[in-house]
Amino acid sequence: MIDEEVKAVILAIIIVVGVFSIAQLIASGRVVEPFSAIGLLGPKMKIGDYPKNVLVNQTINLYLFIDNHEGHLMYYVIYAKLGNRSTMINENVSANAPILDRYEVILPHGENITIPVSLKIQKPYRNARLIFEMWIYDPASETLRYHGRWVQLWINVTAPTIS
Amino acid sequence: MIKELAASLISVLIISSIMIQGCMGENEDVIRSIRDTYSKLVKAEEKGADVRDAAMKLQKALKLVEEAEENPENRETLLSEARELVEEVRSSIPLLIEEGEKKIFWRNIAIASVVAMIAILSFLTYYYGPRVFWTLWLKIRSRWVIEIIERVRENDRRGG
Repeated sequence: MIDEEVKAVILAIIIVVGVFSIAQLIASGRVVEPFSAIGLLGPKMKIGDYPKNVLVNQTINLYLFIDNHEGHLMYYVIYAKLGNRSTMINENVSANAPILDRYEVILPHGENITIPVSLKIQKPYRNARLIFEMWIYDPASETLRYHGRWVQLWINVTAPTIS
Repeated sequence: MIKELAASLISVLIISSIMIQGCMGENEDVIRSIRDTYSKLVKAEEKGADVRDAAMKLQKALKLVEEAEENPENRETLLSEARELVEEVRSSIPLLIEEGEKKIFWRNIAIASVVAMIAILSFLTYYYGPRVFWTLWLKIRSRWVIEIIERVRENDRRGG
């Protein structure tokens, strides 16, 4: 009743649909491009209103946004460092600068967290770079490893004037 | 007199530095146990465990350690609370792994069932599909009445 060519087409459609369905089933829940994200938010928990000029020992209030899309549980350590124009930092090299503070966060895959940051700088500084580096705890080596992500904020720290 | 004063000052300094070291050491101990438990959780997650709640507890423990550093007067209470949370997570790991392994087993069963079902359905469609299709086609049209409106001559149909 139905010739062989039509049967072959039906068979091809069935195979394609079947393979696609099975592939979808097996690949479901897998992360194709794992990544972690770090973001710096202003004192109102929004992008913007960042402080540019602060006084010595004035509390700088910011927020750090951390997002985990690595496909598994992550242990992040964020270092707040005080650098300057000449501080070298890139995806592979972390900044060689004094550490102001440290924040530790454990995040499951697909979750994010916004943590408050309060920092003080104790001496006047022109063109200071407030650097936030993302490090991760590696359970295999039981050490902290630089994860190649960082954010920065340029600020001028001035001494309060005595009137 | 000066010697005694200097000696007492030095001893105060030594005692306070030992105390500070001790406090820092305690914090570091809790951090170390959190990291150790985290490593175990990662392994549990690899075995299919749902570690979301456990991770939240560890995050809370980290927060407590941070608070302990900021509030030395409540340090002991906060650190013991953090230790309890870490212990709670640590003791729940075997159960989480068991549940995860079960979940993976049933997921594999589901995948195998779907694969088998697709194969069977493909076979049935290929062999019985046309027969079912034409049977249905005939059933649907079984009550149709065909009316010949115009008789066309055999020669006209052939275009001759």
